[in-house]
Amino acid sequence: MIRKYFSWKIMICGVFSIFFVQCRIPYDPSLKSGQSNSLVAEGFIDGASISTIKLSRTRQLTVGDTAVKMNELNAVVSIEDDHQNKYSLTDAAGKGIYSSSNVLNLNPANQYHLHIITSNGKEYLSDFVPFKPSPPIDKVDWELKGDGLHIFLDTHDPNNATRYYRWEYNETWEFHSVYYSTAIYNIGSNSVTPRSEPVFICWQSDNSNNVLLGSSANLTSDVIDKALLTFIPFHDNKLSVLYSIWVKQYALDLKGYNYWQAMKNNSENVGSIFGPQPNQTVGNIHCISDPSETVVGYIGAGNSFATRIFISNVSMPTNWNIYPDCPLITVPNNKDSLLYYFNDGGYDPVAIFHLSSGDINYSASYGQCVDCTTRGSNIKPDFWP
Amino acid sequence: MHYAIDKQNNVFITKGFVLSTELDAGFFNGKKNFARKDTSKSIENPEYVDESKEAMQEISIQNKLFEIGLKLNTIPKGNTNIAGYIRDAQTGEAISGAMIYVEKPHVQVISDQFGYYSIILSSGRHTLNIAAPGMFDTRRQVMLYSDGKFDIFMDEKVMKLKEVKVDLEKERNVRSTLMGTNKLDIASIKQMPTAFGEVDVLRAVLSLPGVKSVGEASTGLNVRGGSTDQNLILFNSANIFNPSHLFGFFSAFDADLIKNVTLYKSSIPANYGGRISSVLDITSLDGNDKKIAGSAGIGPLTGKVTLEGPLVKDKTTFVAGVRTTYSNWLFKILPQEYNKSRASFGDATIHINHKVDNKNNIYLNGYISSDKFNLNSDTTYQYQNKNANIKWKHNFNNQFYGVLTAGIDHYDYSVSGNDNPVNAYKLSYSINQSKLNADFSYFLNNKHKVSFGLSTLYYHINLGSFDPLGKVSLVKPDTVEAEQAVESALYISDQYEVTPKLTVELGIRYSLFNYLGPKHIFTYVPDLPRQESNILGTVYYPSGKIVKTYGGPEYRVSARYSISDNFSVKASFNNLRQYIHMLSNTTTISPTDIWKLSDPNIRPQEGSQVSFGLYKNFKSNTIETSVEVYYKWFRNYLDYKSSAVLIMNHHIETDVFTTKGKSYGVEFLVKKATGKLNGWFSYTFSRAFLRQNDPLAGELINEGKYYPSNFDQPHNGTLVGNYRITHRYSFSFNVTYSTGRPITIPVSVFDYGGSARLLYSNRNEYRIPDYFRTDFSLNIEGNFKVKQSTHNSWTIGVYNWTGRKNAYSVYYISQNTTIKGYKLSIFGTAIPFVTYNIRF
Repeated sequence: MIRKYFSWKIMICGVFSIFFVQCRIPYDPSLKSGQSNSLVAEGFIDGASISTIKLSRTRQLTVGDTAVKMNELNAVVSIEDDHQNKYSLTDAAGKGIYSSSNVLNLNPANQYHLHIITSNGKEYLSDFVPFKPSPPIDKVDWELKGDGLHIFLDTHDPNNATRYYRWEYNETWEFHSVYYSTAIYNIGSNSVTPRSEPVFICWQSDNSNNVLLGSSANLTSDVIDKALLTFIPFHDNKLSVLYSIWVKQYALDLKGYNYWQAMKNNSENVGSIFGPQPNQTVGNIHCISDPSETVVGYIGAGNSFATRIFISNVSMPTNWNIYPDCPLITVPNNKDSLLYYFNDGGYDPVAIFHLSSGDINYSASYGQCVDCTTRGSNIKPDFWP
Repeated sequence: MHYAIDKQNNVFITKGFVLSTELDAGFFNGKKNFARKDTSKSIENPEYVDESKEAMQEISIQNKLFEIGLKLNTIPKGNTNIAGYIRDAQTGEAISGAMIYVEKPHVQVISDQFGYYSIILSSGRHTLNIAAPGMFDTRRQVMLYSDGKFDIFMDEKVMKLKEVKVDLEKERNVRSTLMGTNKLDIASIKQMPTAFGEVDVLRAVLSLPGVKSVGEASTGLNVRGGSTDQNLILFNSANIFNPSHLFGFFSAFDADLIKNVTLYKSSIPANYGGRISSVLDITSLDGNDKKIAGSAGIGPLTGKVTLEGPLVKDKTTFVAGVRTTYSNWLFKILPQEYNKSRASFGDATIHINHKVDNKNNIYLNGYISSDKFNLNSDTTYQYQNKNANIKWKHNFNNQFYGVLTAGIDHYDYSVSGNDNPVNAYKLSYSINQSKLNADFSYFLNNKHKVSFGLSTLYYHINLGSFDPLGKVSLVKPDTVEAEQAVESALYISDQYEVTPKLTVELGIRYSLFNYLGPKHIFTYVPDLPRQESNILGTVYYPSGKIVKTYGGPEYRVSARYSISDNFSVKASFNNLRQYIHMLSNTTTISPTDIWKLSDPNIRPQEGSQVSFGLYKNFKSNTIETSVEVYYKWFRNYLDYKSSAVLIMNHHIETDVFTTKGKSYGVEFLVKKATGKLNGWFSYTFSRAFLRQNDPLAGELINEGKYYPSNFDQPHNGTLVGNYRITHRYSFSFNVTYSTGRPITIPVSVFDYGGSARLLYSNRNEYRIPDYFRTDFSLNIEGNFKVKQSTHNSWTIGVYNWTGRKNAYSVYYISQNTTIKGYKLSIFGTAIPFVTYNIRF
């Protein structure tokens, strides 16, 4: 029995291993060269607004900060059609965003592709695609249901020719600080002075980050009814004052639709233990200098259609807004208190009080209750009413 | 069992008779005196002494002339048929695959799964040679007057003495027409070291050439580039859907009850169908017909008991066994983060064999296996197999018999989660199938053996239901509509000996599949990707209405040409259809896999294979070698779209697409079955590819080119050996190497459509690291006292003794802003084990 007992004890060590205690070890496969640093081209050959192509590079997964963007600069980018017309795009801001200087007057009968020569001399071409104009968006509307606000879109093509749609949006909302601040803390001098720039009204903005696709292929007529664009949960700050959404609609061909669909699917899951099989659908851009090189992106062509709507807090139920906990405190005017509350404590002054005693003190609250620029910009967008 | 020790301390174990290591006093003066004298001198070569009548019989029986048929004064002209059973003399167990052989003129037959043979010889005197795996060769002198019955009893080869002459059975691999068939008897399975000392039938099969598994915690078999669902796993004719226990660590068959395991991977006889890759036929013992016997064993995780014996003398025998686990002790001693895990499993088998009369036999089989586990969460997984069948064998005459089989096979699983009572749920799934088979064998003459039959199989599958668990649960009940179908088949095959050197087996099977209502079938926009947005609507088919019919002929052809007595060439062509698909997001068999029938939107799988092989035996057939080459192609195998949802999916066809596949390979096998050192070495080079050719998939995998399938492991080598140090101690070892399996990994990240996206490698472009493992064990037979009612044995060993951290999978998780890769090993260290077995 001693033998058995002894063996069992050893065995337990083995059993630990079953439960992954020491069995998960870091692993970096040696990737084939060229698997990272592939060219990524995103954009649309647009006959209705400025054509913009964003060029960047894929980054390695396992090394460094994946938040670092790698923009592709100094490339020669042009749109070409099958009738030898050529339109150059330039990266004015040096951010890898190549735009046409004005709205291009594109002939819908022609086919278009994108031509890129990168700074390392490599040449890329996208496949010729037909020019596919988008029908107008019939309306962007909203509905309060369930636990929030659903924003959706209706569109249709009377010619039944569009069938596949993609949408992007940019949402902007106005929001207010809890307190109207007339004072500002200056770090350098550790003092509070009257504020010249108001920080009570701000605007925040965000782009769509989900792939939004729609298809009417299974319908007898080319109608998209109530395609959901976004959902704003009840009480969300986006609708505390006024909200606006700008929606841009693109018409896709089937290949483009499938490309976006695959991309949508692929980004839902990072490879888990038994995760579903991911794969990367090949886009329509190819490196002609090196046909084996991976290039990411699908470049379509057509007229986009954009529209904007506003939704006001007035239309929301009265209990939409909930106010954050913003206690107002009084800070005496001495160096230690100023340092304690304003430099280190995350408070911002609201107002300056000149007491009858001749002393000065300050009302103050948490920074986010006072200064809306902590979350947004106090510059009013030009489209804002 | 008896044992004897001679003066050189050699230990001899015998069954049914006592071996004397010394001559009896008075041996030379003719007086029989069986009293053993310890002081008498030893002899060089032990002799059998006829202490028991049976042993006496065995010596003389070979020279006795048996007269068969109505005795006449003159021997009639023409041919005579004799038929009967080949059985183990000690236990009465039927011996399948025994070869009955007459030298001049050369005539040879092989006993079938019931141990039944039928041979036609010219009337007159013949010497029948009989050989079977694990049995002493024997022969019978027969005088044939007219047709008759002749049962043959063979002695088990308890131990392989040096003197054992070369047995004929070694020629089996050269002589049989079947190719790509591997038969493992339980003795060689038991020698192999395994994880936790648990004798494992499926792992033994994995050591055969051409058989692979994607990982250690998986007993799913990939045979010659086929997927795990393409194997028909039969246990006493019952179809087992999930043959594994404890997350796949162990196979669900209790090895103590098993007689042998046959894997058909290239010539698949026409009586089998329904899967396109292989047939794994596992048969249990029939039960000892002489006395009640049994065995019991304990290992670190399981305990088991087996009992066998006669119920009614000479009429009915039974064998039954149960196995259960007490693995929960393991979990309790684990660190707190794991110690809430629980796992339990068990299985029970019963087989009853009843001889009604000389012409009728009835066989009853029952099998149940169940598993329940939770891995440190409030989610409990449960699954079970339940199978029962009855067989009636009727001998019409010596040359013709039929077997009628009726059976039910059941498999179900459930997952329940109750960590939050409001969300508590139970997910369940089940398969029920009822079948009726009639199989006939007709030994037309020695040149033709004809088999024919028909079968019908009714499926009813509950594709999943999701229900609230408990009164407060707010889970919305959902049920995927059940499906049902009938699969029928008709087959005929003829094994035809064209010349003594050339034998061909021609078979055809016609299978027909009817998918039946009640069922709602989704319809899709023609020529557009089959996805949710393209659903047109549903069509309802009421109960009993045929929704869709598939069917077609399947051809099974094989041929063997003997170049010499120990060298032959074989070729085969096969064609199979499969109407059921296993849907699994994982590459292994997991408890939440769904089996789905072919329906109007999912076509049946079809596979074909051509193979060619050379078989040569050396050194008087003690060393068998073979080389087999195969090329296989199949279509309509399902692969999954990115982010496929398989569980509770009402229209699974939107998440899968069909692929066509091809695989090819060459398998080398060198086997030494006898001697102090025995075992085999196999090396396989093989590739397996899939290609998406489904225009309705909506996305192209690897640009529509061929890509390696999940189980494409080009190089695979296995060495299995056993070395007998003394008669009491033997040493077993296993060495396994294989190329790592292919995986798809994210290779980089980029921004697109407003968000960070991952760029994956082409599907299965990368591989996990190569696999290598070495195990060994020492088998110690217990003491060898003369009179004892029980015999015991110990096995101690180490699994993965190099402690290599073999990768099971590689995966990526996001940590802060970086995505990191990890490699997961299942058995990351050497695992020692001890088991104790007792026989009584």
